[in-house]
Amino acid sequence: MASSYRVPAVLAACLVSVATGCGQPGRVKGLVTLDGKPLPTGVITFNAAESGAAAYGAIGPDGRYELRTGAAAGLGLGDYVVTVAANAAASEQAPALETSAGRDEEDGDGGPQPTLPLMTPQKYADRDRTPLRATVKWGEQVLDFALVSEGEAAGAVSVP
Amino acid sequence: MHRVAQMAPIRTVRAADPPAAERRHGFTLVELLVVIAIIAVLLALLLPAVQAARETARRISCANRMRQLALAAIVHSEAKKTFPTSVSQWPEPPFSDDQNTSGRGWIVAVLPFFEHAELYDRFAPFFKGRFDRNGGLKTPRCWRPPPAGLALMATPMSMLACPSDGDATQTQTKAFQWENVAVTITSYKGVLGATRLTSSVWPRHDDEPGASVDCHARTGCKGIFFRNTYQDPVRPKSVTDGMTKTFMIGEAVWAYDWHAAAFYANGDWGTCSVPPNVLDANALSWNNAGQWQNVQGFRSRHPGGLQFARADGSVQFVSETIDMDAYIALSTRNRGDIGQGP
Repeated sequence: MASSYRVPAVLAACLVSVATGCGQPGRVKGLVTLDGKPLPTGVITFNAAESGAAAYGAIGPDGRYELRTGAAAGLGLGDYVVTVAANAAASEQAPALETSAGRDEEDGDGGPQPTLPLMTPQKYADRDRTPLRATVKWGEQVLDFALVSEGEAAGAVSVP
Repeated sequence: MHRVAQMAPIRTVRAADPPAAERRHGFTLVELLVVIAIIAVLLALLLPAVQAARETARRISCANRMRQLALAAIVHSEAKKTFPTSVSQWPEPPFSDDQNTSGRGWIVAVLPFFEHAELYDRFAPFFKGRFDRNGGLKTPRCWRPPPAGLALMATPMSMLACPSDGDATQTQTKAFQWENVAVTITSYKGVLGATRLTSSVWPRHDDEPGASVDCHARTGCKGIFFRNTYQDPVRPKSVTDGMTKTFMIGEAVWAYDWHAAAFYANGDWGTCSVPPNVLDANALSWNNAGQWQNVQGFRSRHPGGLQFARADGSVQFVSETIDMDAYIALSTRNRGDIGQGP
């Protein structure tokens, strides 16, 4: 009898939906590359074009990110201005000292810690200058971003 | 007679077959499994509710502690006409020749205002000398455990630990500038404003909200607490955006931000340039990958948001889906953005 299976199936679906929560309607993940190579660190931020929460994804070692709003996965629907910034790896460049002019830098373990410069072009970190845009729709979507060190940047490439 | 004689053998048969009778009164395996399954389903429905109730209790306890700290800071601002000040851990402009940069945090300054005057007096000898030259709070007598008892920097302070973050209830040995030293850590940090630090990965704005980049290492931040406030103490009358529209103290989570030494001027502040509740597993590595400039935001383990104490002493839960511009507006005391924010 089909109906006797339908009830537990509906119940199970309810339980799953309660357990995972409604959360945010848009689910976005993807790959961030700089000059064709995956960006191994940094943050991609979706800033609401009008008003709303900022969604972010901390980029993993493989260049992949998944957006969250606060602790929860996903984000609201609509148009976003996208910023990307990543710090250079510790070994790649000589670290710049925490900026504070006129400070002694001779000291040992109590002294200032180095801050790592950005490896991504400054314009991508700037909410008012970044060329990256995205429109978030309902459900799962993959948005890859290709950053370039010089010249024009590619926009979002949507892969359904 | 005939009937009785007929029934007798039947009764004998029953009496001679006790296993059959026992089987009838026991449970079969299937029945047992069904009962267990039902109990499991009921428990599965009940447990999340119980866990949620427990977290609610922890969150309320967490808010109470924050409120005590906020009230102490407000009493300080009334008694001394300034909010509690911090002293940087090395000389910073414009006081670049200061030799008494002890690293004393604002939490030390409020100790006398919540029944810890005795602890304040024990810290007082360490307000002299430069932290980065093993003076101030970095004087060995301040942090090295004595033969019997606890080091001053590791004094337990349950008032500073949010029960929702288990890491905060014990001393830690990885706090920034306190490597390999056990120190008490704080879940509650002063709001500096929304200034970014140099080469932070968080979005840059043309109108850098809340003063220039790296104001934490100078003066002029638009929040109430940062590590150089001793140079130019923040007065209540400078909270021109309104006490109810200005965040004073927020929550932090140890695992994501090791700037947390409770009594230390570089462990007791955060900036709202970092979105609320950045709890992405990929962000856990920033602390020890030279990316400390990205971590100093506000976070909590409460589902859905985090709590802030405002400058009027009220503690409110802020959703992590708050409009980012409103979040930044609430973090500043004098940016003229009173129209924004809930």
